[in-house]
Order: sequence, then C-alpha cells, then structure tokens
Amino acid sequence: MAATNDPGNAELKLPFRPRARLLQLLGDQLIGTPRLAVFELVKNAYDADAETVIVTLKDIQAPNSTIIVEDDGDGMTLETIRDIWLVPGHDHRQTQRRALQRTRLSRLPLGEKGLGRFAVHKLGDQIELVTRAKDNPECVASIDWDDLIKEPFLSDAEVTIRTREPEIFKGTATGTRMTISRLRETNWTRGDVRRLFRQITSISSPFTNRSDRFETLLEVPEHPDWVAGVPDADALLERAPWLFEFTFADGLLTWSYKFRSVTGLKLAPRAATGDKVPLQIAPERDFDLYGTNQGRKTQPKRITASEDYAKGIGPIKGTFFVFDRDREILNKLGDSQLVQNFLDENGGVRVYRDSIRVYNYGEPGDDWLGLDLRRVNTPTRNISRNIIVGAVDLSLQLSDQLTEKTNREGFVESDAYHRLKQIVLGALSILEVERKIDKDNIRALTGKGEDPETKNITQPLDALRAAAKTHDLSKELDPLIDKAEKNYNEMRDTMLRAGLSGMGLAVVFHEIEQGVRVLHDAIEGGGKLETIQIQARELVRILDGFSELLRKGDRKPNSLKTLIRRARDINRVRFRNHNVKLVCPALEETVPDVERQFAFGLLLGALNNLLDNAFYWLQVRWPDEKSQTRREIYINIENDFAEGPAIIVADNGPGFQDDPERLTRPFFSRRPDGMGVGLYYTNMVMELNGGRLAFPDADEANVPDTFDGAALALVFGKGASR
Amino acid sequence: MIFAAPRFVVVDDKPEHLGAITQAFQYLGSPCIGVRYNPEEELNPQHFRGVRCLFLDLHLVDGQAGTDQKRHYALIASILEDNISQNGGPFILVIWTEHEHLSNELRDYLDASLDQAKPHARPLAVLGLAKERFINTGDGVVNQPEELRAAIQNALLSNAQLSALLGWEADVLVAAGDTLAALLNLVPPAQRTSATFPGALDTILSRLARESVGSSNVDVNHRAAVTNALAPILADRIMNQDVTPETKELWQRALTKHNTPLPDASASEAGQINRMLHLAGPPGETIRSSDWGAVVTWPHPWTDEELTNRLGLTIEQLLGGEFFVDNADRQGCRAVLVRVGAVCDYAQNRTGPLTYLLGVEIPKDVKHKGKMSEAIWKSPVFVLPGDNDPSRLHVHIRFPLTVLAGGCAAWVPRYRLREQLLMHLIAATSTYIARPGIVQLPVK
Repeated sequence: MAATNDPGNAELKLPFRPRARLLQLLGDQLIGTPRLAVFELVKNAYDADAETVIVTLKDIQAPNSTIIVEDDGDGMTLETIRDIWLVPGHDHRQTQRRALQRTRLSRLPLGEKGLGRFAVHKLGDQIELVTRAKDNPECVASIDWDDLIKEPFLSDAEVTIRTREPEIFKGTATGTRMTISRLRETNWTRGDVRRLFRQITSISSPFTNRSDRFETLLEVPEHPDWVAGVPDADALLERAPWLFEFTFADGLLTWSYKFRSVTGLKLAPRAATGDKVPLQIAPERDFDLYGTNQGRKTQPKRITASEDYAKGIGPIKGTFFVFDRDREILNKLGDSQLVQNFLDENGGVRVYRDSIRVYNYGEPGDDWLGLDLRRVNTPTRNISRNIIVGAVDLSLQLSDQLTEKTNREGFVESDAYHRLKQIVLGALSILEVERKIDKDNIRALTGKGEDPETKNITQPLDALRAAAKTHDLSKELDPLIDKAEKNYNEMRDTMLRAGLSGMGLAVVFHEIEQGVRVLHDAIEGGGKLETIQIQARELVRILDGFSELLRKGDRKPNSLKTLIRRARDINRVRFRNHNVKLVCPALEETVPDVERQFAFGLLLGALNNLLDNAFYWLQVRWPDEKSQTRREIYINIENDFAEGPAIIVADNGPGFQDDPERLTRPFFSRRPDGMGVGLYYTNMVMELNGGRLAFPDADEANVPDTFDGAALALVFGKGASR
Repeated sequence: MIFAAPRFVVVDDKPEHLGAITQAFQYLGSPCIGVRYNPEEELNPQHFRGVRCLFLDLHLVDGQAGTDQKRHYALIASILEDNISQNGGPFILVIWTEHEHLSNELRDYLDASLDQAKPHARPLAVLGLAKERFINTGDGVVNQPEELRAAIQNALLSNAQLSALLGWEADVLVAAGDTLAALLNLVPPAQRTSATFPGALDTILSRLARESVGSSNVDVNHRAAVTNALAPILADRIMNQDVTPETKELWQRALTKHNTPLPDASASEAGQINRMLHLAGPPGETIRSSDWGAVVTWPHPWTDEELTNRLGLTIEQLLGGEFFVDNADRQGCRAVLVRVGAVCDYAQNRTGPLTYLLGVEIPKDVKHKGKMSEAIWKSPVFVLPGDNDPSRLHVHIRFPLTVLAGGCAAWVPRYRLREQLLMHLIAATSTYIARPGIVQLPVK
C-alpha cells in the first residue's frame, strides 16, 4: 500500500475485502430455488463427464436428514480443488465452452460462471465433499457454512482438505460425492419428493437420443415406495393421442404429425408430414397479448422464416405429445386421474440444450410461449399448456445468442430468444391445425347430436357474468358479454331465416362456448383485467360482421365487371405493396359484361376475402420478391359453369391441401394467426345470393397453366341476366 | 368557387352513423360534410380538397371479422391517395374504432404503404375514437355530442403544432369575415334593399379597385384590383386579432425551439422553406409571363447565334466568362428571364416595353471557377419546381431584354418572385446601375 503523509493528497491502492458471507450470498441469492440448486450440482456432474448421477435423500423426515449427490465423473485432484473449485467465478468452463473444447465424452460444458457449487448452500449448512480423480488419492473437504461465514473476511475463511486412500471411490473408480446435511428443509413430504424426482429425471431430455449416457436417479432409502410409484412418464406419453415432431434448420421446417387414435373410438389413425417447407411465422403485433406496447414499429415484411431467422439459435428440434382433457376422451385413455395429474405436473414445453434441461421452461407456472394467454379468436384450435408435454432441443454450440440468466431461470430476453419463441409457435401452429382436423372428427363421433337451433348461448354466458361479478369485473365485462350474446343471437337468426345449413352454426356455437370457457378460466384464475378484456373483445370479434350479412342483403342487378374493377381498385395498395401482378382478362374493354342479382357490398367483401388469402399465400410461396415478381393473381369471368357465370380467382401460391368441405368450415385456417372465417363467410355470402363458392380444377375454370396455386370460383345462380 | 371546402369530413357506409355524426357537429355549430361510402363508386375528391379532420369508418366495405385488418388499411390508403388534394394542407385522420391499438397499426401501415410520390396523402396523425361511446350504433342516435366535441378537441390538441395551425386557419377565415363586414358597413342602411344593395356594393368595389391599381389597370384583373385594396386590411386584421389566452398558450406549446440552438437546415430543407417564402407558382397561384417578378423559361432558341444577336455574347462567354460555370456543370443550369421594372409603372400599367433581366438557375453545388461580377445578383437557395436538388437563381443586371406587352404572351412562366425578394433584386439593380464612378490615377 502506498501512502503519503499529506492526507489531502493521498493515493491508496486497496483490494476489495469481501466478507466471508459473500459465499453465502452467492449461493443463496443467485440461485432461485432449492431444486435449481440440485440442478446446478447435476450440471457440474455432467461437465465432469459423469454417466450416472444419484441423488439420495437419506433419513428423510428425521432431524439428521441428508442429501447426497454422487456421480461417476472424472472427479477432482487436489490441484483442481485448490485452483478451481475454491476459486469462485473461475472461468475455465466458460473458456472451454467458448473455444468449443469438448470433454472426453464430447460434451460442451454447461457451466459458465463458476458459481454453481455455491448453490448447495440453498440446501443445507454442512457439506462434505469427497472426490477422486484418476490415479489420484481421494480428497475430502468438510465445510461448515455457519463457521465459515463467521469469519469477518473471505480471506480468513479457510477450508481444510484432506487426502486419503480411497474409501468411497475404490479401485479405478472416480467421481464426486457431495453430502449435504443440516438441511434447510427437513420436513420432506411424499409430494415434495415426487416433485424433486420429476425434476431430477427431467434434467436430461427423454426425447432425444444421445451418443453418451447421462442418467440421473433419485433414491429415498427409507421410502422406496415414494419414488417407485411415480408414474413412468414414457408409458404415459405413449397414451397421448397426438405426437408431433419437427426440425427447423436452414430456414426450412420438416415435420411429422401423428394422430394415434384413441382406444374405443372408431376413428382411424392419421399422419401428415412436411419436408423442408417454409415456416410461417405469426406476424408480430405492436401490442402483445396484454395490450402492452411492444415498441415494435415495423411489421416484418416476411411472413415466413428466412434462412437467417435462426441465427444464433441453431437448428431447433421439437417433440410434442398432446392429450385431450375432454371427459370422453380422457376416460378412454384409462387412469384418467393419473393422466390429469401427470399433465398438471408436466404440462408445458421444456427447453433442452445438448439434451440438458434449461429451467424454468416447462415448469408449472411457466408459460414461456404464452400458450394459455393467446388471443381467443380460435379457442377450439389453440393448444393450452395443460394438454401438451413437449420438449425443444437446441445445440449448445450453435445457440450462442441464447444466454442464460444468472439466476438460472431461463434465457435473457433478447432478439434471439424472441425468434426462438416465434419459430416454436410457428411449428406448433401446424400441429394445432392438424389436430383440429382430428378433433373435429372426434367431435362428430362423440357429439350428442346437439341441436344448435335450440341450444341457448345464454347459459354459458350467464356463468361468465357470474364469474365476472364475483371478481368485481362486471362493469368492464358485462357490455362485452352482452355484445357477444347479441352477436350470436343475430347470427343464429340470420342463418335460420336464410335457411343456411345448421352445421356451420353448430361449429360456431362450439367455438363461442370454448371461447367462453377460456375466458371463464382466465377470470377464475385471477388473470389481469386487460388480458381478460382483450380476450373478451376477441370473443365478440369472432361474430363481428354477421349482422352486416343481414343488413346488406339487398340484392339488385349489378355488373360483374364493376365488381371486379372495384375489388381491384380498393386493393390497389396491396397489389403494389406485395408486388403482385394482376392478370385480369375480364376487365379488357372488348370483353362483354355480365349482370346478375346480388348485394354488391357483400360480394365485394367476399372477393376481398379471396384476394386477402391470395396475398398471404403468395408471400408464403414467394417470400423474397423484390423487383422481378413471380407473385400473380388471376381474375376472370367464366360462363361455362352449369349454374351460371362465375368469377374465377386463381394464384400461383402454394395451393390448397384440404378438401372443400373443410376449407369452408368456420375457424379452420392454416395461417398461424388465422381466424379461419374468410372462406366460410364467402361461402355464406354466395349462398345468400343464390350462388355458391366452388373449388374448380384449373382446367374446369380455364385458368392459365402458370396459375398453379389455389383456384376458386364465385358461382352465381342463373339469375336474371340482361 | 363560392363554396368553401369543408374542413370536417366523415365517411361511413352506414347512413345512420353518418347522420349521427354530422348531426353531432351541427349541435356544435360546426359544419361537417357526411359522405356515404358506396363500394360501387369512387369517392369525389372535391369533398376532400380542404379537409382538416377526416373521420373514416375502419370497415367501409365489410365488417366481417378477419385474421387482420390489412384489407381495411389498404382501402383507407387508397382512399387517401385518390382523394387528398395536393394543395389541401394538413389533416388528421380519425378512425372509428374502439381498439386503440388499431389506430396505431393503421398509422404504421400508412407510413409504410402510402405512395412515396404522394406525401400530401399522409395524415399528420392517426387517432382512434370509439363510435360506440358517442352514438348508438344500432339506431344512430347521438348520445354525447358534447363528449364527442371534447374528444375531437382533445385529439386535435394532442398535436399542438397542428392545432395551432388549424386555429390560425380558422382565425384567418374570421378575419376575412370581419373584412367583408367592414366593407358592407360602407353601404348606407337606406341602400340595403334587395333592389339597391347590389348596385351600392358595385359602386364601393369599383371605387376601391380604381384607387388601388388605377382605372386603366382594373380591367387586367378585377379580382386582383379589389384584393389589392382589401389585402392590407385583411393582413392587419390577422395580425391584430384579439386572441384568447388559450390560443396564446397553444402557440407557446407549438413553438418551443426558437430560443434553443437549432441545427442548420440542410440545403434541401432551406430550399423548400425559401421557396415557400419567396416563390409563387401554380397550382396555388397563377402567373402570367408579364407579371411583375415573373420568371419565364428562356423564350428563344438557346444557341450562340441567338444569344449573340440579342445580348452580344456566346453561350461559352456567358456561362464560362460571366457565371464561371464549367462545361461539365452546365447540364444542370437553366436560362430564364426575370420581369423587373418600377412598381408604379407596373401598377399604373404604363405604356412602353417590359424589361426582363437574364437569369440562370445554377445548382447549389456547382463550383464557380472564378469571382462573379457585382452585376450578378444571387438568390437564396431554392428547391425549384421540378427539381429535387437545391439551386440558386443568378440574375445578370447588365443583360436586360425588353419586349412589348403582347410579345411575351406566349412565354412560359416558371414561377414568380414574391414582392420582398423582387424588391431585393430591384434594389440591387438600381444600386448597381446608379453607382458612381470616379476618375483617379492609381498610385503604387
């Protein structure tokens, strides 16, 4: 230390002198929960190339209970203990990781900060460390945290290390055993132990095959039954009716979907796949689900993921098992209570890196993908957290832009993390659409043949009103609930009066009922008012516009050419923005006009719907169109249809992959954020105007070969033509 | 046009909503035009030529719920592109929606999608108001006209600069009204009968016109003659209007940077502002080539022979020798003539040839390869009509041309120097011409 005699002009060089209790702080404050503390120890074992980690809860429920974490890894020499283990914040693991230096078993170290071992303090006050490295004596260290932190300064806190002939790791055995006693938590219940078991066994991904072996076990010698009875996750997952797997790499998605059917249901299994297809990404909203401004001023131009979308994330693999909690299906799965409990405990999507769990994703209480809080505009399609058990696997080496938070509770919120979520949600939306197809089929089988014409929406809405009242939300929600009721009743009346098929109505009724249920759960679950309000508005929105069908229904003679021209004109900005070329022979002057009876506004809306779809799907097929555009839409009038003239709308997008019956069903859409009402409305508008919506072959509609995507026809009835 | 352009315009496809909103404005004593949107027809741009506050229904074509609102945004964008007048001035867009975030989405959509070539179609602000709050959307009965006015006022006030300017525009109208009232007061009460009123007014206007421009000039432009007399009164009334404390406060909020150091305007920004301040031109103002201050395109062939005949020098001698512009830079230069002359000659329409001075519009960035003569007057920087980059008008005082009044009728006017700048040029001209020379012997 340098000092001068002049107190007014001194220069001193002083070291930090941390209190010994800093060690306690590191362990206690940095790590969120005791189970994360166990996780940190298991990660250390992984980094030491252990193949088996056994966590033992000994003398549980007795005052002298202990937790023992023992692995068969490389163990530590005296030098390693001295130079690394006793050096908080040592960066050797991080250095290895950055240099992509893999271990003997080709593992990339998980440790970064050199603090994980201090997490044990979260568990207990007394620690005994026994470790042995190859060809070395066994080292034993005993640490009493209470004694240690009594020392005023960290520099005075000493740890005694003894070496001895191996007693634990005999022969050629190596490894580390950490025994923690004077536990913070002594009263372990059966439930606690089972939860810990679940967590410990989920540290390593159950869904992926790895070249090395890494197994974590939990043993409770005094209560073997506590652990033995824990249901075998694999066996339960086998019962999941749906399985979805995907890989996102190089900007393309490969996926496989399986509906494995349900015992006792006369429904054949169904599978679907996609190989290296573009991944659709739900557009970002300026406002998130909670109505909070996200500060995103520009909407991404692309609606599919580009090659560099996964930059800093690397390839993403996912496996999702999806269940059904409808009573009838649950009962058919067998052990329905067991399945429900399993889902309550395990529901969610976990994240793994190099097959090692990243907490807290997929833990109860975590909803990182916002599955439960998504907009309720498609309540029967969305998969909620309590029916999905999923895992997303990343490469530790290639996901370098995903950094874990210091408290080990997930990744730092960053652009890469945001993109990860978008990719997983994009893949999930394929699963949701495919699952909805099978769900609809199941419903058709198990439905009790409810008559939507007589079924009253009032009952579920009244339950919603009651819930709102209980939670003091009536003022905010009642007007919206009233609006939903009014909308539904108006729609029902319109459809009945117009003699439209009740099938659509049944589906709409079901949709509203589901939406009401989601909202009900949100209210009962004490959700945020703004979230609930947004969800309620979405519910109202589902039926917006039906009353207009009623109002704008005045049919009079109109020109088809004028209709097409107006549709072109009001979409001029979209043709320009999306760089879409319009081919429209119908508007050439020499082409004679056709007149039919229809409500102009309604038909314009219907045509708009078709264009809306075309604009979207053209972007999916041709994501990057700058100056030279390949995006084209074709509109023409064809007089060759049996019923009468038709407006043909075709494009060179990816085309349809579903049959017409499904396409015109309400709430079916293959757009990630799609409501799925466009074609349903269009069909209804055509029916209300004495025509129909058809899906002709390109030949049938005389569509030029270049338009190899979707082709639709608004077929008008015979009508009175002049 | 005696019909003033409406400042408040509402477009809706539902007649009952349209009626309700125009009715709400009636309660407030403010005119508002309601335009029924019929999807079969295009809108009439005449209705939008002076709009300041445009209310648009978000769902003009179909109210059907969809995945997103882009089709509606796109329709609104095309309505703005097709109908907002280039000379209409600023406006704000109010969208009827109960979802506040939709107005933000729409604003972003318009920012990104409106035709770059139509900057005037961009609203200064996009606001959302919930229709349901003010009118019964079922039957169109207005519930809260006062609340609606307050909401609109708040919406406008949220942008202090815009509301100050809109207020100013309204004040100008009031001042114009006051001026007309003062004019009418000159008609004695006894003559204010339907039989004699027009004649009495004619007398007053004729007297004013004759005194203001001279009787021989009145026939050139009757309207201009009267305006010449009324403009100073109008200007004075605008300047000295009695404004409320709220207006003063509003202006204080609107103008906050005059005491803080502002970054220099870029050449292009300055060029735009200078143009507004100093140049008049179509479509807002009409110009004849013989107008005082008119700048016309060089009306003769641009050849050495023509130039030598008229001014006694070649193109090279003029551009290279007088203006010191390199050959390479001459492409961007444009020869013009600037109409000058004594103001009273112009006002009294004196006979005799009209005087023009030779000018050259030279891009601002062109480097002059020598020091130009003091006989060359330089204008401030302008972004001239048809240009993207700023230039300066250089006027050579030693190169006048004269023409008889009828001789310049076919000349093509580009723009007109407003009076302040023209006076600057004329003063420079007379100073230059009148500078005395003295005889002296140089001493080393």
